[in-house]
Amino acid sequence: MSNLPADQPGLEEEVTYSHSELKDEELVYAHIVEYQNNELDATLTERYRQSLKSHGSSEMLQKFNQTRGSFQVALRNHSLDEDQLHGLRVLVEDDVARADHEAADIRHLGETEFKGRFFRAFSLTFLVVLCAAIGWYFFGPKKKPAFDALETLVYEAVVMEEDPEGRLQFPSNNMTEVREYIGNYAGLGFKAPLPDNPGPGYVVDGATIIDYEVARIVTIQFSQAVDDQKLFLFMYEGLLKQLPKSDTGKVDGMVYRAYSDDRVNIVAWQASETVVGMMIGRNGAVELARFAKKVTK
Amino acid sequence: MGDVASKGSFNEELAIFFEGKMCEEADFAYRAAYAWTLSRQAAFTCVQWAYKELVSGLEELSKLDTFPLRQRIMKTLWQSFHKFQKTHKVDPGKAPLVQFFSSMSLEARSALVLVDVCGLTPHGAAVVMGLDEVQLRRELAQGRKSLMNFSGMD
Repeated sequence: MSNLPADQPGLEEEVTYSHSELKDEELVYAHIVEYQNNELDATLTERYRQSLKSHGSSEMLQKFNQTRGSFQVALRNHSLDEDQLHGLRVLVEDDVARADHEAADIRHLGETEFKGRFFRAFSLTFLVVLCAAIGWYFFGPKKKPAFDALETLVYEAVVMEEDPEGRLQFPSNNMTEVREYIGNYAGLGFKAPLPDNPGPGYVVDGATIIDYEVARIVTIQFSQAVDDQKLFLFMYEGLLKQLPKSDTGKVDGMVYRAYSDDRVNIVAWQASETVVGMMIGRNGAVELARFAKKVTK
Repeated sequence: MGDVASKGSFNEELAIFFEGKMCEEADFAYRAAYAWTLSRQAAFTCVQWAYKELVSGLEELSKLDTFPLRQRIMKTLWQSFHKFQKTHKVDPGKAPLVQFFSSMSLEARSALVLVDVCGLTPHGAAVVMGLDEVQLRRELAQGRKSLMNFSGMD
């Protein structure tokens, strides 16, 4: 700590002070620094020593110095930061600097405001989109899972072949009845082309509507008179191009795609604008295609 | 010269004095004001108010040596604090310094900080606080006695 000479310029008039007005303990603490710096006059030094005997000790002096140092360090950590110093410096800015700072402040404010608006708009948009997505997920129309017609209908054909009567909902050898059954079926969801008579050598066994959650399939079962081989005509709502690419053939003007499985052959064609036909059997693809053309012309 | 800038008679030397010496002294003012207000925000506001007052007398202040200048700043700061003191909130009391200051009277902690932190003489501190020196010494003794229990950093 520094002490000031009384005649230093700027100091106000010295006040009168008499240490006799202080109690001994007050004196010890009030002059503890000056005593250790040997800045007290002889009279005060003598009184101080006497007071120290009853209200202090050398250990107390040492502890005071330590705690005072800690206290000074603790407060030294409290300093103005750069923004606060700027807040003081602007008090003495010239007009040009002030104008510059004001312009910078306005610019900064504008940028902050723009960022704030952008952030708010972005947050709001994000929330709206998020809510819409959540709403769509929970309340929107359920998307139908993809219908793998080839795999599914081959499986159906094989199963029906193993149980040719048990799986027919409408067993009938009368094509007119079968046509009526299909035509009058409620809730089919699409208009299936009605089949024609298969002609000599083939018999219609009946029909069934396979109702998958994602699609309804019109199914008509035929038998070959000569060996009772089964042929299955499937029709469902869809497009031929949705099936995997394959060899293309043409029979009597009907373009078809041919597929094969280790058990059966498959031909598929666009039976109407929105309906795919699929004929499945153990016959060759061309033969299946010709038969398909015959019953769906 | 009055206001360095606003009266259109910008004085570069005084501006340099303010930005140099006065701003250096502002840290001492801030520490004293913190001890008085127990609030960092309020302490800075006090300093701002005081410096606004002081700007009008920069020419005179620029002629003072360090400690007379500091004493003048503290006196103006003390006056600003008394205009301001009932309108601020104290910082949360968990900080060791706030706890420590809160255990003392305003006068005791003021005397302690002005003398033992800011380096004013007891006489100078008495002038700042408007006390006679005996009163100041009593408050200083009280503050230093409390200081023996100080054991923490803020």
